[in-house]
Amino acid sequence: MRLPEPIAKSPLYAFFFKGAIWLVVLTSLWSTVADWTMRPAVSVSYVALKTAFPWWVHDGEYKGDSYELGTRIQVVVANAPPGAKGVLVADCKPARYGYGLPMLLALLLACGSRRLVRNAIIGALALIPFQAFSISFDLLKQVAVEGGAVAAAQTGFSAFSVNAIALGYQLGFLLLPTLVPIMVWLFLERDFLAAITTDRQAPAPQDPASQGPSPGNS
Amino acid sequence: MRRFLLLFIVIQLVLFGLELLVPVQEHIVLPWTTLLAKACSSLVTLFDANAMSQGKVLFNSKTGFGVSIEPGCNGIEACIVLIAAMFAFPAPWRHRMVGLVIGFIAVQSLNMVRVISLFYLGQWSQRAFEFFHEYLWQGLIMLDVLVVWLLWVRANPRTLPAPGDAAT
Repeated sequence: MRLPEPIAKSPLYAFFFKGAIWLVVLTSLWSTVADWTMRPAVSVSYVALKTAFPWWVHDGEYKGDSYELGTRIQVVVANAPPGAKGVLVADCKPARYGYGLPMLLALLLACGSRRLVRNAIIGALALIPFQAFSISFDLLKQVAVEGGAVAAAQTGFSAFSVNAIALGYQLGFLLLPTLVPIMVWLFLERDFLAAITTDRQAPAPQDPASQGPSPGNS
Repeated sequence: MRRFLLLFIVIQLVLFGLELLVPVQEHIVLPWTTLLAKACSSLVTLFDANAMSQGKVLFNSKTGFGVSIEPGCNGIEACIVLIAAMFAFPAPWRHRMVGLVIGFIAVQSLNMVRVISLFYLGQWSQRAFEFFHEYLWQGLIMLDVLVVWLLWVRANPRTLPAPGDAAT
């Protein structure tokens, strides 16, 4: 990618400029396949919820761009025939928690990662548990907070658990999707970080003809 | 690096927990969000007389279309990340304070661009609005936070050792 000279001269501005462009391009491309990229996180979320709450988690199913978690929690349905009962279904849009993947790839490309493929694979795998966390707490919030007393009686969630779930949801919705890709990138590209933050101190290249002898040169 | 990451996470969780408290929501978050909506409508009315704000909603008085500035869209979480990153990184207090003020202005300025752009995108195309709102702007705001922090670190009198330098 060729950049205008004033931007290209500063590694940090070049990084920002490239990062923004790659972010737009990759997020646009990713949005067309977002549901597929979220399948691993959805599977991890389902296994985690099924393991933690086997008595009320029933099944999970993708419907279009949303994921539905079927439960065994019985609820009364308004205007249903006498005696008929429904079950609570929680749904969420997993892609809402997945845009960290194009973000991470954009950062890796913008910094000119020397191990692009390796770091992209490691980074993508590292994001999965956090995406699963966000999805799980979105679904849990619907059951525990929005399900009310009827759901609470069947799930056994205490008031403390409900508050913890609400906090987990806020964390998974507001912070983790954008923060984790940056932290993963910082960890994977620590050399770039060190180089870019100290580049103002790097000695300017000198004209060899004017360079006198120095203790380091012999 | 390990110390920085640990401190960064702890400070962030503390600030995030504080942000969710009811008194903080009532006395800081909601007034700030209302002020943000007013500031956006003041800017927009410079070129669009139909824009108005009521509470945390920026709306078009002619079409009735409005955007409500909800948690995650008021720039507070982005500022929390920036504050945590600046406090976790070793730096003189003066440098931190200057960084916080400039960083806050940088993040909130871009956030105003986000709110105003979403206001117009929503009137133009629901699909474009969803794409920008749910995916793209989230990433751009965090990229802004990252670059502000990197600039701040670079200007820090106590900079990181260059790669290859011996650890002390």
